[in-house]
Amino acid sequence: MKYIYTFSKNQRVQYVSHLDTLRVFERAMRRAKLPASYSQGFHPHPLITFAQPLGVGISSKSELVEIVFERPLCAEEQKRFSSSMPGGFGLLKYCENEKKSPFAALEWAVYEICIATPISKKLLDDFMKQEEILMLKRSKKGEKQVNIRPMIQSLELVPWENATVLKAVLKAGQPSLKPELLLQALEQNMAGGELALQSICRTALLDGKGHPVV
Amino acid sequence: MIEIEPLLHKVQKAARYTGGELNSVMKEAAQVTTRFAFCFPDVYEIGMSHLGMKILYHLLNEREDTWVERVFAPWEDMETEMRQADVPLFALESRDPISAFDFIGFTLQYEMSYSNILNMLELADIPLRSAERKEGMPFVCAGGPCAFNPEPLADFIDFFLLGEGEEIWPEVLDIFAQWKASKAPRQAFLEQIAGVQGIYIPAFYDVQWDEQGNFAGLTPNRSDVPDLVQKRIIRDLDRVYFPDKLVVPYMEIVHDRVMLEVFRGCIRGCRFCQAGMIYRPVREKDSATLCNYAEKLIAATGYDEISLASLSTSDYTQLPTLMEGLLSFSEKERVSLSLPSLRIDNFSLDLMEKVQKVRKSGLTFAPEAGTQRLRDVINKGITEEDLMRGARLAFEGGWSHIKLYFMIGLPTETEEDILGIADLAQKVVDTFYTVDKSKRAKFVNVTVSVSSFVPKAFTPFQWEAQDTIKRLKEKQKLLKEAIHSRHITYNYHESYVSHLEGVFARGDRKLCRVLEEAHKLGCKYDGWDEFFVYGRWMEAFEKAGVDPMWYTARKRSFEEALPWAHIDCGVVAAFLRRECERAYAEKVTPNCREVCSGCGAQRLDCIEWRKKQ
Ligand code: SF4
Repeated sequence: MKYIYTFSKNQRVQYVSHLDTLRVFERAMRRAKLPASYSQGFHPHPLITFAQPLGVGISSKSELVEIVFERPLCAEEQKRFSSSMPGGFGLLKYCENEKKSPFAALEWAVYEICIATPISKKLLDDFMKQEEILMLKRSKKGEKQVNIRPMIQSLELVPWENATVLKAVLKAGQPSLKPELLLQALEQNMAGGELALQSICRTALLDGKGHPVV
Repeated sequence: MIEIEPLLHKVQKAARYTGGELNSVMKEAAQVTTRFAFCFPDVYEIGMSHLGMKILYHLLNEREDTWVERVFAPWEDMETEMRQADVPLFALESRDPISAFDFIGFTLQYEMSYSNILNMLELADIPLRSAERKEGMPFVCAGGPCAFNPEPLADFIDFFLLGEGEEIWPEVLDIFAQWKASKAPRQAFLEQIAGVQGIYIPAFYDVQWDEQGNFAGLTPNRSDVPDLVQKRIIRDLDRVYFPDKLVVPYMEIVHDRVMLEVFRGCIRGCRFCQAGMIYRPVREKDSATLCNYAEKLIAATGYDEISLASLSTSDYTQLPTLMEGLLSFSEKERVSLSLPSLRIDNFSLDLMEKVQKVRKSGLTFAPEAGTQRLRDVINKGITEEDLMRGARLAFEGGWSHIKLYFMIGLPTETEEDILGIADLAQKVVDTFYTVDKSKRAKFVNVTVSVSSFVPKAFTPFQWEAQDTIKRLKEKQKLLKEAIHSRHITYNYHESYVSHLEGVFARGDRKLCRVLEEAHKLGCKYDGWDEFFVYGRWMEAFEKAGVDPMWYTARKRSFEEALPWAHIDCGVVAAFLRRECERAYAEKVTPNCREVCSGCGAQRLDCIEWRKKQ
């Protein structure tokens, strides 16, 4: 039986890496004594798939993970699972998923980027008017010049106390755009300015039509 | 609580500093009498892997009046950020600065962590020297194996704990609570614990120096402290507290699994081994108790791996029952067992088959010396025959990689012994080719891993000279040239660190000055190749006016006053001397279960000894 869980990761655990987050789930499942399904092969591991890895240093309100169990879980077991998650992680909701994974439909991710430096609307507008924004993108294969403009759907300023909150809808799935790279690009457009980053939170994962993936 | 978030964004592996892990203990600071910063002078991944710390952390947190929190050495990037932002060293749980705590307790696992201790005190904004600490400041204390030769740290530590912390701490904390309520001066607390067995307070002892300024003895400077400080042990290990939960880190640590301590001490008595002496006598836990803990700990942590922890685990008398119990449970729960290096025989190979179903990667043997003569000298009761039998069994079982551990620089060592290492490795390779092709793997690799011998306090070799770096290099070269087979890989550790380790392992109070100078010069993380700078240390010795060679290169006479002679670790000097003489006579000493050699630990209630009576 496959379930998709929506979970949150608060600031205290935002430095827990993608791989370590996988371990967090494995261990919580074992503590909750849930009937996990395992892969075949020499080193069987529980079948846990995340929709999109979350970068280190980013918190989230809407991460998605699909987990396969040997049989359907009862409400009691779901509750146990949820209370077995360590502090900082929260299982927000779950649904059964009989069909194939909806994660393939993932196109966009929404980030709220909190910055101590004021940014003008004009700066953002000018930034978005560019047809091409070339940035060095690092990957396993090395560095590559990439035009990141098509990977930015929208940038919007949200007033919030005495900080600047930038709401960014960025490309997710394959390939994806990291919010850090967006900030770098913005800094380059600010003539020597540096953005004092306070926090980044991922708030939604969307499909091509702008609807939540799950 | 200190604001550390802005720093965390700038450093690598910030999960080292965030705390909040599963099963970590949170309390209300205002509700406890005693706040205890348990400090491990190394990075989080190393410190969190240490079983002793886990046990004490949970044991002492059971007390309502005490809150124990964890502190690790910040990695270089974090230290830089902390210094820049003026953030003092803080505890992981509360994020409070530890300068406001009651106790700062360091665990001393290896000498090369001493510079980190000073660095951590400085980061915590606590005066380095005990004498400079004022009323209201924390008491700085230290325990662990290196505390058995406490003198190199004597000026910095208010009191040392000798022996097993589970036994000493409850008493110290009781006294502390009363002292704190009485509002008596700082000195009064130290006076009150001076009588507790296992406590050594360096300030209550004076060192005598001879005309040349060399160590000549150490005596109490007051009448109410013991001349000889006796270590403290747990008599019944089976009934002693063991936590039923463990902190589960968010990031991967070195030993990321449930560790089960099966026994303490060691029956073997290898003459170079300090652990084998200072943890005597041997005390076992019952296999049923251990299985019970294993199940509880898996349920509380969600770990998928269990390993056994002890010295020479093959000597555990209930190993077959324990493994049977653990295997039946682990298969059901999909938990894997990882085996420590066991002596290789039919039983252990069979076990490894069962446990490591697929990976037949490496097996390790530790003959330690290249010839039978030298193995007799060091009392390593392993013969060439044993080794070849083990290797043959392993190759027949399909193993292809064997790792052999050796030491160079051992007492009485000659060229023949060095060449014997190459010879032994070659014989293991040859053994592979005598095994039927249908049984053996396609290839064979024998790794020879060589470290340098460091004489340690409380071993039969505590009087020995340590080879100089130059001599060790010559020996390494000799060995390297004697290895010809492409099936043999040769690894050795640099001897610079061993030299420094040797100084501190048998050092006296003068080294406090050296440590201080080294700290000023920026020495830290000396156990890490990327940080260790030998030249900087030599500069520190020069500045302090101390000759390191005096500690290492000199053979001591049996009559010489030793800086650790006022500590009683159970094993007595007469036994060590007897063992040293037997080493020269190339005579092996049977293990504790065959014959009790009267090491002195019987005074602490040795079970093996009692059985013989
Ligand atoms: S008293 Fe005897 S049996 Fe006990 S540790 Fe010492 S030598 Fe071994």
